[in-house]
Amino acid sequence: MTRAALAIPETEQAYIDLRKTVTDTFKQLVIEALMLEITAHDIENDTPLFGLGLGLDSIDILELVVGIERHFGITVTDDNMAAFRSVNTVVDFVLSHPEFKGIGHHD
Amino acid sequence: MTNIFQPYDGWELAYEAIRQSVGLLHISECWESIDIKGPDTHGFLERAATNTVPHKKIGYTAFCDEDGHLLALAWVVMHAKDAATLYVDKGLGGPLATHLQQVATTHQRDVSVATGCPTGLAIVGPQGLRVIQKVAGDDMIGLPYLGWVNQAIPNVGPSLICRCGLTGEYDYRVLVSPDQMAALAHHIEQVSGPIPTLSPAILSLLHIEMKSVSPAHCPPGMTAVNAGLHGVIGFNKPDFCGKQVLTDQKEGDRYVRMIMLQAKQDHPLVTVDSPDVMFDHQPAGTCVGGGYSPTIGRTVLMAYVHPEVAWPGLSFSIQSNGERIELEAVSSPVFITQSVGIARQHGA
Repeated sequence: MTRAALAIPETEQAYIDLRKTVTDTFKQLVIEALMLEITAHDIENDTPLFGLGLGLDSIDILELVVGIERHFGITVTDDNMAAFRSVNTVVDFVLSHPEFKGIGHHD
Repeated sequence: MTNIFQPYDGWELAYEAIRQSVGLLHISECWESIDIKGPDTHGFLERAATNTVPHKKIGYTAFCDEDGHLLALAWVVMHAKDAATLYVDKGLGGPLATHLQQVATTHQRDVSVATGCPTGLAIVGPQGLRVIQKVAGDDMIGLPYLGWVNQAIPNVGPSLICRCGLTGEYDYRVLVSPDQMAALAHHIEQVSGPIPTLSPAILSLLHIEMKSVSPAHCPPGMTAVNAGLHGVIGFNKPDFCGKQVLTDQKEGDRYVRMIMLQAKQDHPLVTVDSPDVMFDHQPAGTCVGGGYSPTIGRTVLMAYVHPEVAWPGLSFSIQSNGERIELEAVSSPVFITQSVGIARQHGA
């Protein structure tokens, strides 16, 4: 496998840029809300939020829900808790949420 | 190196037992052990292991050489300040023990290192909690993930019970001496009824579904950071084998990133023509393992790809029997197991 740059079509690149921004924002949210002594680099995107991964509990998830609603301008309900499996699954949830209009595009 | 799960006689029943009910695995067929003894045991392990080694919980850690190359992943039980046991995948005990002896010599640590073959049974599946309660008592509900306890089992004798595992299911490992094995198997059947004993071959598929990386999924020379094993690296630790390289990679330009790929169509994949993974008609990475996942009804693959395209939602492809298989990168874990649901209900 070479490390040469790939040619990425424009549409895919725009999606990657948005996904990366939401991912970085959510990781920072996790670190600040839970006062973790780590950096965003320490969190792999598929790291489980519970168990062997970041070891969060249900109280921590409530903290994150508040942060997600504030940062991304979306509503999170009890029915959405299945999304809280990893950073990537939360980002999937945010990007597919009908109320999500982009970073900073909310009141 | 491409580990595509190969179906074998009875694999569907084994899969269903572990995902829907419960099954038994012979620990001696799955894992090897390494005993570390000596007054400097904990300090030695802190120097050799990438992750912190806890005293009262099971530790899960990688072991790397000084260049950060992954050698093994291990469960660590600290029995006392001067004694610990590591449990590693079958076949990795000898090479890891050799490495640990070298580390002990280089850093003048007062420890002994000896390989062994653990015996016992692993009780795995969503009904695992119900079974272990019948086997060892109702108190087992309080044993947390990564908890361990020395427990006398009626009609069997002393045992070490560990709750760990990487399948996403309850996984209680009951370790006993070899002469207690028959009594343990008999006791489990007496209190729980017949439970199928499964081939360890099913574990590879269960691990792939959970994107649980093992050294078998890492090309030679891959570092723990490039393998995506950040969760088992204690970057805040003062020092450990490979720390400098791993820290530089974490904060710098990654060579590859592991992602999970899911076939867009129902296509039970058992071989690939080449491990090359393509993105927009360009070679973008290497497939290292996969299999057909009955739960999601699709083939899932693990691949190391160029970091710029390692994002869920993007499309890739791979060749199988001359046919191009369309894939989509997906977030992991791809589903929530029954065990997780039961654990949340019990607060366990």
